[in-house]
Amino acid sequence: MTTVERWARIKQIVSGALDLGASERSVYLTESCGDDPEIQREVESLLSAHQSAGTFLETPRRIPAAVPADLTGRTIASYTIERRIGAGGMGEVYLARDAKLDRPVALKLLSRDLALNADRLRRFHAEARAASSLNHPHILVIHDFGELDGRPFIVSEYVEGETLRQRLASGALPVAEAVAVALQVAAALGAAHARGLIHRDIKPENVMLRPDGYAKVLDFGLTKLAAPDHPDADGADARTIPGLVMGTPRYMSPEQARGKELDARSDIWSLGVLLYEMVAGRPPFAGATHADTIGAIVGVEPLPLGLQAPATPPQLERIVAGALKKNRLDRPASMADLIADLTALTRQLDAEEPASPPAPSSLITQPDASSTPRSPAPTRTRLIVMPFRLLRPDTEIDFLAFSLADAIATTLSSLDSMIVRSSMTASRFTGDPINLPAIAEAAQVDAVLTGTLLRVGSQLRVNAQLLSAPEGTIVWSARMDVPIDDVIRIQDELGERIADSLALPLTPRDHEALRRDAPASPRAYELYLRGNNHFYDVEQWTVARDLFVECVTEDPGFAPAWARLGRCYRLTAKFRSKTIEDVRENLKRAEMSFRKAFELNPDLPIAHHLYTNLETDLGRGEEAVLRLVRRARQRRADPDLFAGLVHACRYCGLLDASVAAHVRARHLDPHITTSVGPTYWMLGEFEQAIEGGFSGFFVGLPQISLGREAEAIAVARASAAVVRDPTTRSYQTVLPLLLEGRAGECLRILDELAPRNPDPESVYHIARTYARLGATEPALAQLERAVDMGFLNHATFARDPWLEPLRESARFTDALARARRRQDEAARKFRDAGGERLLGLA
Amino acid sequence: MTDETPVPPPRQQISKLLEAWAGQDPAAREALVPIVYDELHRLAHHYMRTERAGHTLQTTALVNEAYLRLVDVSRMEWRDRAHFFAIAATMMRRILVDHARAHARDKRGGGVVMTSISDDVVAPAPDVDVIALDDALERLAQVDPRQARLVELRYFAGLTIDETAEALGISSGTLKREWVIAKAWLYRELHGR
Repeated sequence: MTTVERWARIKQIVSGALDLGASERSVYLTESCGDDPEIQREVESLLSAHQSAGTFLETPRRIPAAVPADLTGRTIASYTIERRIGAGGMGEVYLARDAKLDRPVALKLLSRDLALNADRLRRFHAEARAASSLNHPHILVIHDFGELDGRPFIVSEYVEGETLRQRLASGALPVAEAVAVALQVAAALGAAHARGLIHRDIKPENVMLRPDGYAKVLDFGLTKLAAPDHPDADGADARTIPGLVMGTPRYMSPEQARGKELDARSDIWSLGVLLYEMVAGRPPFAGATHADTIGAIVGVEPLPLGLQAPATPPQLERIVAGALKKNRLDRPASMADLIADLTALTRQLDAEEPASPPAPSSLITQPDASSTPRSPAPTRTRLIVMPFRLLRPDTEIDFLAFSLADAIATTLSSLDSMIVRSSMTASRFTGDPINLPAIAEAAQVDAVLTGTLLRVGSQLRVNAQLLSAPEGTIVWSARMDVPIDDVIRIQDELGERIADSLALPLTPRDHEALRRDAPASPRAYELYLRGNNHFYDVEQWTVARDLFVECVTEDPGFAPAWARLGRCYRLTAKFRSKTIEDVRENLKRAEMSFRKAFELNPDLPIAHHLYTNLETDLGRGEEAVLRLVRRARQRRADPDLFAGLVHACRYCGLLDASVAAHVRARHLDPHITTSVGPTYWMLGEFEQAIEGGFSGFFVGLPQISLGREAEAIAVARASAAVVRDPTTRSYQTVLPLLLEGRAGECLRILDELAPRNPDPESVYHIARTYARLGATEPALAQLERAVDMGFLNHATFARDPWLEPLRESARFTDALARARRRQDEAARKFRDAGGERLLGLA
Repeated sequence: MTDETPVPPPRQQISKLLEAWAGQDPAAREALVPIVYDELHRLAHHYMRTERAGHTLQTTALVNEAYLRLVDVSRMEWRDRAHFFAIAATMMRRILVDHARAHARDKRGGGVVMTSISDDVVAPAPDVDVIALDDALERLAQVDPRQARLVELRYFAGLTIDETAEALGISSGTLKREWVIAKAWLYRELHGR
């Protein structure tokens, strides 16, 4: 047998063995290797290598790039380098002090490559000087040029502030602000164009924003350095594309992407892209690869701005669409035209500003009808991922039934083109065969993923079907066999196949999202799935917490695990901490975990959903509201974001907004659970509070408010009887004890629980219960604490009958005034962020 | 971007060569190889020389870049892209291995100031010793050239399973199996028996 034949045989045997479980393997190996022990050894060693290989070679090779040395402390010519303030594709930027004139300057040190062509360098200097000498208020002033160890540098005025890129990292800009920035950039470019200077590289990195909103355009002429002199005769040499390897083609005009001669209209295009991104929070053309991006620039119409950012005035949408005409003949003929349009728009925005009266409290309109008459919400496929069914009972893999489905749903929920129902909703519909029409109707979905699991030795066999609902047509069905320690492949492949088969219009961002939140190792993924399995079970979440801790230890780069761990720590703080120090420590860990998740993926849906309750516990309800508004304006069909707003708005005293958010969440997902019950209670709508669900520590409260005390005692006692969590049980006995006149026991429980309760809403309830019991001093102390911790419903405090004994106190009046001030502030920010528009309140 | 680089032939011509090669014309491949190598080499070295903070670039991105520069994208099919990547993979391997060898020499060489390449820059995945991998791939190619090729395409050009299958002209199913075995073989070679 030749070496090649031997290898073929070994491969064949290994291949067969991979299909079998450990127990069947040894028999198979003995049979197939026959009397050739050497072949058997070889096969066994390959099988064992396969076991340990993990993700070996799975990530394509990366190319190392050089790391620049930090020049801080050095003196170059008359400039003393104070610190590095930025580094990018073209070089690094330092803050330096000019010794001659004793002023701060920015020193930009360019890559050595850029100096290789002396002629080109001269022309860059000339162009940069020409732009600077325009003395335009929105063009960065250049002071000097020089060279350090063969690297060219530019010295310019130092602008304190951030680049537009840095500003965009925290999300879209309000429309008025975006237009103001665009207008300043347009003015700068208009002045340059009048002198025949084209910028060619307008992008967020090249616009500096001072804290007062003043904008400056940087880097005139720099593309001259990076691009070669002349295009080919046919004018279509991709080498004229500036900054391709160095940066991004996202802001390039179609003619630039084609390597054609450029005129001022190319800058108009780039400014259009910039304006779009400022308003939408994302660029109009962005592909997974540069080729995709360029393909989109040249041939794909961007999504209308109004669809990305519902607050866009129609006039702005027209201006942006005009600047983004593929054919430059269709764009505004000159920057002056664009400036005129933007100026008219600014006037219109100024005129509109005061004309937005607060909505009357009873009037909640359907958001879709009032805020975006022009742009119907894009249709999105609504999917539910059913828990997998085990074909035979199997303790090894039964944790996968729920958790794998949950993980797939979590991953797919980051797709813009898809609404994925929560795993909790899915777990409500059990039964085999599933009743498809019932699910489609009840959960309002268009597609259902179902599947079965079967373990065969060390292999896991997955049968999955995607069904269209309600008709039940099989969109596809697939069988996969994967090693039991490589379950991540199931998520990957099913995720991609679902996206493919539903022909979802996946954006490049979506493709990235599908890939991004993947664990680095099968072990981390298994820990994650095991954690998920216990995640929603009140009895089990400390188990979940420990599994997630293990998971992030195994793979610190796995964002969804951090987010889930954050929730577990929050719950630990609230329910499992015996001392106030423990509470603080666990809240701190919760915060760090979420930070970590957001650092890894600022868009992670599950992190945005789970973070809200922690923010309100930490007294940051206002931040939660603003974050959710910003997020929901980009993902208007995500019911969980609106459910979060129900909660966060209530803490800020925005009760109408809270109810409107609930209406919106239910509109998107008829089964979603929100905390609207307490909101209705605060509004004095007690029947609706009962209907909306009033669970938690003070079960029975709406019934008491309605004077139905016997019923209140009954529901509270019934709840306390089944709740296993001791903290919750203690709280739930408070109201019955109070009604039964057992004040002493009541006070004892409150005294014990109050100090370590981190949730300002709970603290308010504790305060009013103290007041009702006649304990004025602790009542005042707790009410002050509730306000200072961020529960701002001053109107509710003012009309709460239980707080009657406190009203004479100056401390009460002060606390109310503080709450009112903070609520007004929150309401203003909410309005400015577009929250009222989003919820149809304006 | 230096000026000493020869100007590549117009993109239409390269696109034609790629089409011809996809149509089984071996001469077309011969003609393509030096063009693609020059471009990749230029891009990779530009990248590896350019100082930037904490970035590494995926091989896939670089090959894509070369593709974009060389080929008239509007005329090409997805399949042609796989073929282009197939050519590029071998060269990418050569460039990276050469770079690693030079780097290793510099590290041993004493007195050479290594300001431009830093060991701080590591890939997020555990780094594979690229020189050892190259040697192992040589050995693998002796018994199973297709497997060696497959690893090149997946690891050095970042092709997906489907693209790799297309470039090698085999089914995705077969390819997945071969990939698993090749990985196991190489893992054993690199991590001892």
